[in-house]
Amino acid sequence: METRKYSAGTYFQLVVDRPWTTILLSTLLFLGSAMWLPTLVMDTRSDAFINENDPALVYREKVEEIFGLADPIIIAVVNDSPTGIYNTESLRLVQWLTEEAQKLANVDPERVVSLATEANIVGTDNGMETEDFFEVTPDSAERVSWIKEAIANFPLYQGSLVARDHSTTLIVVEMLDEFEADTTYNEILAITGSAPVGLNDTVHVAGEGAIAGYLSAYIGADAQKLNPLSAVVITIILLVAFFTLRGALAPNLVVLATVGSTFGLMGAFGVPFYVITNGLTVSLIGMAVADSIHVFSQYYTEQAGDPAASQATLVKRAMIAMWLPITLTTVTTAAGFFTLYLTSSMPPIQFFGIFGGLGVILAWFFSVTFLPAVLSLLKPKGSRAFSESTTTGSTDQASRFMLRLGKTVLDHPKSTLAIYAGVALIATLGATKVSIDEIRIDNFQTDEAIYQADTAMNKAMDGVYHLDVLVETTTIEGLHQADHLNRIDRLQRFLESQPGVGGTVSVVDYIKQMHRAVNENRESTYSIPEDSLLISQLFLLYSASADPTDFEEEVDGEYRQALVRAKIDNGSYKKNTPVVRAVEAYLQDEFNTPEITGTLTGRVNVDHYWIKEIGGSHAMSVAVAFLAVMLVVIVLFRSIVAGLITTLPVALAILVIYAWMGFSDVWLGVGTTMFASIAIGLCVDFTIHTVDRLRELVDSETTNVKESMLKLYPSTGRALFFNLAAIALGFGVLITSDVPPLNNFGTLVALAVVVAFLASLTLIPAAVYLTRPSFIFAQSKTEYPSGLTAASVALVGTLSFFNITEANAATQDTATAPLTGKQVMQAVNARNDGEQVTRDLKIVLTDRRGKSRIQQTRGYRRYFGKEKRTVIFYSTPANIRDTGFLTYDYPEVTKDDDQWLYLPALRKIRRISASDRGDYFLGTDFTYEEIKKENKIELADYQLTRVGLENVDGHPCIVIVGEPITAKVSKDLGYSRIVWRIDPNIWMARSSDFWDVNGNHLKTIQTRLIEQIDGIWTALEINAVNHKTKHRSTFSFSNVDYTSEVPEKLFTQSRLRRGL
Amino acid sequence: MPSLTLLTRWILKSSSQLAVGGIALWASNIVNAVEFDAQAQLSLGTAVELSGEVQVGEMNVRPRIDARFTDSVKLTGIALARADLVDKLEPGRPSNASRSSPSKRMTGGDRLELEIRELFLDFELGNSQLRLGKQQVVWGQADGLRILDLVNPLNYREFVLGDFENRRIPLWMLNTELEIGPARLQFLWIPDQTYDDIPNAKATFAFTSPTFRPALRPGEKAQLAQGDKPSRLLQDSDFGLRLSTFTGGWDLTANYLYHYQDQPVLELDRSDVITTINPVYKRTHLIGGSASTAFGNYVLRSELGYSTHRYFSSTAHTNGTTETQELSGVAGIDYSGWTNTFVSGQIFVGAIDQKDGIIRERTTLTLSLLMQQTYLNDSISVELLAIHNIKNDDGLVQFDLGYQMSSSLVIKAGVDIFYGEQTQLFGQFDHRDRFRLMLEWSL
Repeated sequence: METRKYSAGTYFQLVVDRPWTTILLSTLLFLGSAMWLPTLVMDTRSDAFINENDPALVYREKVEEIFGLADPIIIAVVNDSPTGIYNTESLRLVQWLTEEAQKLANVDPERVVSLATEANIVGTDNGMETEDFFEVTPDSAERVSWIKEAIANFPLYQGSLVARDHSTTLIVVEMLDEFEADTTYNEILAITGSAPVGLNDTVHVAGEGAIAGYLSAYIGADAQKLNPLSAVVITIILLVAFFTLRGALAPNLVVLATVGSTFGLMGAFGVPFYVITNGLTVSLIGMAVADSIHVFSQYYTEQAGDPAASQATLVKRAMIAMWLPITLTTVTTAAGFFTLYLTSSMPPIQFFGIFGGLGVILAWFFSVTFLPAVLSLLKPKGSRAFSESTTTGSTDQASRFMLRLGKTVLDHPKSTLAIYAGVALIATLGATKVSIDEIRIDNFQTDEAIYQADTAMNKAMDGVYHLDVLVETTTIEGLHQADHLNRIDRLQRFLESQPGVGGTVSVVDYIKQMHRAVNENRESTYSIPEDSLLISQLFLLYSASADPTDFEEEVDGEYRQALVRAKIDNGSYKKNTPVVRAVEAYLQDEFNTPEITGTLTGRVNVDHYWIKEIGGSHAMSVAVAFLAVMLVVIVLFRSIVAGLITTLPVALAILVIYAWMGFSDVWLGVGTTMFASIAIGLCVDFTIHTVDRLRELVDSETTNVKESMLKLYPSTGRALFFNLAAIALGFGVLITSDVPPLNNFGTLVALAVVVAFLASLTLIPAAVYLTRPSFIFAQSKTEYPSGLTAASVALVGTLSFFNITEANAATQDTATAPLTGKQVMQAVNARNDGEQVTRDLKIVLTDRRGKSRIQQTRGYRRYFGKEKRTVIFYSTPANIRDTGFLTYDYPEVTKDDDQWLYLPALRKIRRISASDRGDYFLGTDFTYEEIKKENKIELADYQLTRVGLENVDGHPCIVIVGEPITAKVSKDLGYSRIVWRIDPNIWMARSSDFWDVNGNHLKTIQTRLIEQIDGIWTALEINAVNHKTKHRSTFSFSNVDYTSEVPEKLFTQSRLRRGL
Repeated sequence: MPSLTLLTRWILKSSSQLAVGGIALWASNIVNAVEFDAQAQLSLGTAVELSGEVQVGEMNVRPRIDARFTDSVKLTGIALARADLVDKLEPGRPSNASRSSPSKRMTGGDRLELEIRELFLDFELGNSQLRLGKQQVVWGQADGLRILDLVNPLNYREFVLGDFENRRIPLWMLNTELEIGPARLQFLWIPDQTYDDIPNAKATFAFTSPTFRPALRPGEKAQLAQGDKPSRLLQDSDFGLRLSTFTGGWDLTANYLYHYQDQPVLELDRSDVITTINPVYKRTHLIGGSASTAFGNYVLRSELGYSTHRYFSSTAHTNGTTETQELSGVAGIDYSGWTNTFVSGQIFVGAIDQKDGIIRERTTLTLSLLMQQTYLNDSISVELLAIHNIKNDDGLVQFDLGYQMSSSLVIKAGVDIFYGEQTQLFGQFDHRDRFRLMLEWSL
């Protein structure tokens, strides 16, 4: 973990050092991807949801090919008058519409079916004759009645071409290319708009072709509304969260880059924009902004804590603190999306998964490259939302709200758990009520014309949804056999007995019609002739008088295969499933013989098969997504308990959503099936941030667990709150979508993240508080050595009052209750010198004749609890390169420090005894003790006395005299007396003098250059002069960095041996 | 819409192109991000025997390159070019006989040699480390006396004089360290079959002590056969394991090395009129450990090693050698109670399982004393090292004076004095006592 943080520091340093390069590279990625945007195509076909190799689809396509079928656009002419459509105006309208439709480029004139194209079959003296209904233009009432009469005597057309109540007649327009559906649909709308509509006539356009055609436009319009709305919502949230323009704009750029790149890549890979892809845009907007929110929150927190720090430092610190959590959440969210790809068989959902996951990763990428780079170019500027909370101690509404929530939860942890148990129980009940369904027309709002057209047509006619049976005989002209036709007839009766089936059509209906026609239209002869020869003759007769292709939709040219079409008045999977099953059983048990077989096909059947898979793939994707994120968490926190606790709120959120669906009759369909995987990926983000923070706040040594845990709320809780707001409102925007499945999808995801958010901040803390799991409480705190920081901050805080007093006292030279010598040196020891530091040190050793030796080193220091470890590596000159010095400075006075020196000439590590502390360190004028303590002292070694005030370089300083408490200590240290001049504003000695064991003035150390780096007072140049030898040592520090993670492994003998 | 398989292919193709582009970008980033550091040391040195005979007159150039690719990947390369104008330490063309091909020195005539001293890549993965390449690995806590420090062979051109740094022969190996709880486990795989460089008979420091000679009978005629050095990459590899930890103020290690002894056993083939001396390399297991701690002004260091198969010349066997085991240990105390002074004493004890006719004492007892004193902020250092073998009553005294004139220039002078009988380890070089002078520049 340290390595990663260490490398992260280096990386972000690079980013802030070279912001333009970073911006250029990320912009290139964006442009490189977004340039493919124009190639993105829409595919709103229902079949798009089915894997094109799916057997049901393949079979249907085969059938469509044999019978020349295609998903049609259906125009309905409706007349509400008592006579219905049987009037000259309506019929002329049908003729006009038919002719106009036939002229369309994407329409085969032969494949337009209406009263204007069909023919009546009548008996003549010679046998049979066909006459087009519109052979004579229906201008006269006479002709109109003739047509009405003809239809009344032609059961085949009743309910399929003309409504049984005469109110409606259809013009069925088949397209040549279904991908052009949107164009054709619009052309037909144009035709119907300019049609010579009669007084009582209305014209509707519906049908599968129309749905596919309109859906593209519908979704496009929806997207145009949704996307800006999301952007506005997100921007408002950002403004509320940060009160700054940059906080609102920069994340929007990340969003733009993410969405642009993702869809560009979709275009590049030739993946179309499906109905559900619209949901992806909004999802991406919500998720892309989440990373930015965390980064900005951290940035402003850093800014408020250290207003003097440079922008680059702030950005770097914010990124170092946040990159891990946002990376983790990216991994889990992407995992949620990718499981959609793995577990779904529907291409739109698969691609939703792939590009959703990719988008999340791109959002992360832009958040760790573009965002910090842009940010580093701006001038440092605080956010009022943050600066107020740190400087005045007051907190904003959000923080206060979160804190109140936290108190309530931690005061009543058991009740909290009990409430959740109750919620889970009720939710389980609701979840059992969830059912799978999909109704394609429900993609439209009920007030849409197409929805109403669909409803009207299905009501008036037998139904516009088709369930087909392909009947195959083994011999050519097998369908001339009476017993086969009778079998088909029985099948039709069976089909008609099924719920929702308004009527059926097959070649048998034509046979019957012809049979009656040749028998003087006697009603009793509306039947299948018993003689197969007669049947053959009827077909022959028909072809002699009419177009033999008239039957091509019902029977193939060899009379071997026939299509039986059942018209169903609804497209609901749930309603049609029993029908499909019953027909399948009937075909299996009653119909099929070695000579004749029936196979189920048609839109309803195909839909049945792919929707059936939703249930299975949904369960699978939920399980896989859940396991995937649990596994990620287990690996991250290296604890199975962590995995369970972290995924608990996620499980609860999903359960609540099922309950919501169950109780409010939202079915599990195409739109809703995806919610779970995505919600799992999003929900776990909240729990990860919470658990990660809790691990930082408490451990086994925490005395007041509740107090420590409460710190979660105003900080992480607040950030999560805005994260929630962004995601919930981002997805919530989908609620305003005109596409109901997206609508449901948005509602469900928003609800899920709200539940996960609440559970993360209530259920997890309550559970953690009660169970004290070891992954939070027993962890070694080496990663988060916050204890010492907190202690020193508290100490410095309490001393700050004296700090000011002392400074005043010093300048005014008035003696007002000054601190004692020991208190001053305690304050010096309590001075924050950073949990860790990395720095370069140039050592210049100058002898009495002015000859200098220069050495270059790199040093690291880090606190492990109260133990301080320091390591120094020499890099030049070559003869001492790789020399290294490592110390473990223990807080216990009784415990000797451990020190090692690596000698490259021997390639060996030499233990240095702790009593060497008074020895000079590697030829400098500083002792090992001084190198180790760095401007601090071991309080137990000295008797400390405050002797007055003195000005050093214009700074008023408190003068403290220290005398070693024993002769042994004096000998070990090499001093008999030390005088420090401490600047109470920075609690650092600006100058100190040392006397040797014999009482001679030995040396003077002066701190020349003191600067605040990362908010920490740092001595950048220290000079020591030995008055006896006149040798002097100058230590110049550079590249001082308190923020980059200093890995623990640097402080090992192994590392000492290997060098830097 | 393209078919799914088409799409898959497209995705694969495009992603592979992206990957190639990515790798190229990554590679160029790496080149840009690499931190290079080059240094060199140049030294001029001479050694003159007390008799006045010039022993050494050499110039060494030791360039070093460090390249840091990332925080966890770095490359170190150190080369050595040596020109010894006197050519007495390794008379004639410096020998590569005991070296594996990749570790051979390049020679330019008798007086010039060029060698890649070290060339290794360091990788870090979490708290684990991997060092791959030519390198030195030093085990043990003892100074000057080797018990566990047997991973790398030595060059005996100056016998035991000179820095270990220069005497140790780096080997190509895989050196990995893993963190196991509070301990670190080092694993070494050394496929490099390079052994001690033993000076030839004409060399100044040619071994003459009977300990190093074959156990020939008086008057026995013998000829030295071409040695058969192990050369199989895998089967003849050395392997090492070291478990080390720091606990309760103690540095502890447990060591295991399965290795070829770096000096050949001189087996005799007496089947012919003239006896053939076959130098044969033999394998042994070395099991041992070390411990050290600091208390007060003292540092205690100790080391123990047990070799399962040691071979010594023996008069009792026709092949002139016998196999035995060896146990040795060292204990040392460092004292740093005096300012700028370092005093260290060591006692070294060795014992072998005594066999008939073995030309070696059953036990050895060696004492060493090191005193170092620095003056003028470490710019002047004075060092005295004395090694004395109690049993054989021979030993070595070294006196060194160093002066750091500037950051980059060091002048060193010293005296090496051997004493004892000609038949003994140190005594054999009694007549080689010498005075040294060296100038060393850091560039």
